[in-house]
Amino acid sequence: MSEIITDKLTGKTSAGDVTITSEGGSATMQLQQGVAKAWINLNGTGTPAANDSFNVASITDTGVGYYEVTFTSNMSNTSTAVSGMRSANTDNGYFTRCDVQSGRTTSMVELSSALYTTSLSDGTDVMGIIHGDLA
Amino acid sequence: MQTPSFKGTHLWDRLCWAKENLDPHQSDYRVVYEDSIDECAKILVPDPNWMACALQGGILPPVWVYHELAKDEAQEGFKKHTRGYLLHETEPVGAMTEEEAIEYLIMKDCPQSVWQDWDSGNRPKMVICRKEQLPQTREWRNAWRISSEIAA
Repeated sequence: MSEIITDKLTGKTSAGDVTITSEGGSATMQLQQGVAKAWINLNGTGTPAANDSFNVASITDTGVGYYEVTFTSNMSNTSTAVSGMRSANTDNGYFTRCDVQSGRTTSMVELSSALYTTSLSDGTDVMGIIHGDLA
Repeated sequence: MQTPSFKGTHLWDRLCWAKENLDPHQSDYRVVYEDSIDECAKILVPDPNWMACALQGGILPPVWVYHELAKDEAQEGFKKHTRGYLLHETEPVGAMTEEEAIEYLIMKDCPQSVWQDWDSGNRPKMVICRKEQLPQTREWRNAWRISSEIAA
């Protein structure tokens, strides 16, 4: 097996386009498109705060179960893909959800957290991952 | 630790360096503001990794860059940013104190309608406080407002 040890990968034809070969070798995929551009794990109980994150400038507690997450390095457009989940806390056995609200800009997404069958509520581990293009 | 010379370095790369080399700083400051009479008070919390960048200096772009991008985004027919280079090519700002970082963050992430005339009404629309000054439980969270006694 060969090993590449380097600090930087840059596309030759286009600097921002590094391709990798897909499973089976039938297609190539742009590496950058598969990288999450921001992520956060926050504690929404008590006084909410981030446990850890990347490319996040602040969170804003806007009410029970609502958290605005702003970016340090903005996204290029508002068509980002956001995935999220939260812990179930003591309500073992319930499904949980983490929705994306309509208030989305290139600098912010709003997450909401709730137990599956009930209204919005705060969680100890609310997680969000954002994919898309950077500005 | 000395910040490398990041002028012209993509902001993303600067954040990667910071994540690798700086310890997160969990600030005790919170910014409470109201931007709608129909909604409860909102609480802005600085991200610990972002605060580490602000205190370190040489990583974050000047706040006016974000305002320029927001102006572009507010244009009718906006599809995508074409001036993203402002984030990456503008000279990064130097090290800030924690208080200066909070001011920067207010101008970056709070609505301008709040911070530009935060004390023009009968009571303030925005208050900077410490974490322990906030209610310690989430009881009645959706009814929280800035106390009118603060204006006194």
